[in-house]
Amino acid sequence: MLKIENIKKTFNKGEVTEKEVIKDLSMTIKDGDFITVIGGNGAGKSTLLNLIAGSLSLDSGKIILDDKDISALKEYERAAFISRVFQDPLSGTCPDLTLAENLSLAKRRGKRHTLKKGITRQEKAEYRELLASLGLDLEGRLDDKVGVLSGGKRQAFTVVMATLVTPKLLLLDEATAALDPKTSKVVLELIEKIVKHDHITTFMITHDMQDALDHGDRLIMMDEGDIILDIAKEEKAKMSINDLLIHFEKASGHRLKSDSLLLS
Amino acid sequence: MEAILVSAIAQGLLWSILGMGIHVSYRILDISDLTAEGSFTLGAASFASLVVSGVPAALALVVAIAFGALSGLVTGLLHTKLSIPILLSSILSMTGLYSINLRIMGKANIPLSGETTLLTYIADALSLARDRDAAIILGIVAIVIIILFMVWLFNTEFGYTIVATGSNDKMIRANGVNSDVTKIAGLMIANALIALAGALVAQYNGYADVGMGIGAIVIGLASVIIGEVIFKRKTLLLSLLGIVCGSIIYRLLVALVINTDFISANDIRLFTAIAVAIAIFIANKDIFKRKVHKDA
Ligand SMILES: Nc1ncnc2c1ncn2[C@@H]1O[C@H](COP(=O)(O)OP(=O)(O)O)[C@@H](O)[C@H]1O
Ligand SMILES: [Mg+2]
Repeated sequence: MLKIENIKKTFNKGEVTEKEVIKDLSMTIKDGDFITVIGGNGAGKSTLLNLIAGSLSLDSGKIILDDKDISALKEYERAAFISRVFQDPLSGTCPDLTLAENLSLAKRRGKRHTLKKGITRQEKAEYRELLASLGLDLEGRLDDKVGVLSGGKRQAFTVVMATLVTPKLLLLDEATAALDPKTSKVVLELIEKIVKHDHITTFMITHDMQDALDHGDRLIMMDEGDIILDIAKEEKAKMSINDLLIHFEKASGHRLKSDSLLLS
Repeated sequence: MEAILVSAIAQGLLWSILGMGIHVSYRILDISDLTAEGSFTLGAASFASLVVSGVPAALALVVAIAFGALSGLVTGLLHTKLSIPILLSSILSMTGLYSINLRIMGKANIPLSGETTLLTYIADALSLARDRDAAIILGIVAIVIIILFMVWLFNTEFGYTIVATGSNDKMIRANGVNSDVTKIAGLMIANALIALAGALVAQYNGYADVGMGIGAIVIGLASVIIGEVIFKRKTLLLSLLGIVCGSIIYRLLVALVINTDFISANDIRLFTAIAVAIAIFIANKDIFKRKVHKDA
């Protein structure tokens, strides 16, 4: 269980450009929750995710994972139990290493990287089997450098890396936004499949309202650095995009700028 | 002509180790580490002063390598712990090393004539008449050991983390690796190799000189880039072999240029700088393109 308690984040404190981005936000993520997160541009979604991952530091408040306060842990220390997929398909993998070598890195996430041989024959067989079972057509390319993969394949591969060792929490920040609709669908289905199969607690930011409705079992809407709506599974299942927009207007007191979200 | 060729091969082999060090920082870590100018001299200075004070050459070489690694450690700590940009961190190291090198040597130049070095040892053991032949053997032995070491290291779990740090340090942190540690490790390996090159070159030249590191980066880069033109950076092994070829070709070019009437030995660094600038300009269209979408 992840507990976020009264966290705050202001950028450029004391300068003219000072911006309070996360304002006293609290929430609880239960084990196995698959949360989709939506909100306008600049609502603070990515900042919240970066605070959870530790790539940004908190101004105040606490983040508690399984009764352990992780607020002071560095990003790479939190990576032992939190994994993430970035929006940019190029960000999650190392182009100069092969697929097998990247998987080897991911397999040791949060463990020591020793001077032992990076990949054993047995591991390679495991990787081949895993990739084959996911139907990504990547099992024959274990010895190719990741840099030669297309953006969509690379992002799908990033999802595989992020979940190779089941994390306590999977963070996805608009992971499919940079992909064309068809590839985006493939990657989303892959995420859905792995998350369901391994019961991974997931926090998925998306700019696509339909995706937010179609996936996950809890929907959160952010506005101006706070959570303004938190919709449980049953209610979410009955909602349409229009309902969401109406809810948003009520809760935030303003209309959602239509250019900041994908409405269909 | 044969003499020119043989001496280019001998020098090329020894200097190629500098290129391999530059490859680690410039290519694998993807950072511009200027420590090389100081660590190359550091290797030569510590080796020479130990040997003239009676320390066996093999031990002196090990110390030189360790000092090189230490200089990489200092640059790495300045960069990661004090958040000083790498260019400035390495300039600070390089500047500090100038004084340290003078301290180690006690004077600006230490001749090695009459001392037992690895080179004279090999020459005696194999009864070779010329130092050049011994240098070729020494160079080949050193290169084989380094290549075996590098190929082994960069196929370990830890080796992967260094490579990944260079191409995407956001990713490597997300995978639970402290990229400060991998950067420092890479800088230590790079400068250990560069100091080793300095110690070997000092033996070939017959002296260590406080100014011998000037231009080291550009000379190392020249061999790296010529190597990439030949082998296109397909695998680490090919890159390293390419650097060896590149370094020999560079020495040949230098020998040919020096033999012309209007260029003297003093002009070599200018010649090299211009040649590297042109090579990078040409290669930019091809080899360097890949770097564009890095860490976007
Ligand atoms: N490193 C930063 N420095 C200053 N301002 C930032 C920084 N990161 C984000 N912001 C600002 O914080 C606000 C929220 O950003 P973000 O969390 O990226 O929003 P979202 O992901 O919901 O679009 C935006 O106004 C953005 O400009
Ligand atoms: Mg965002």
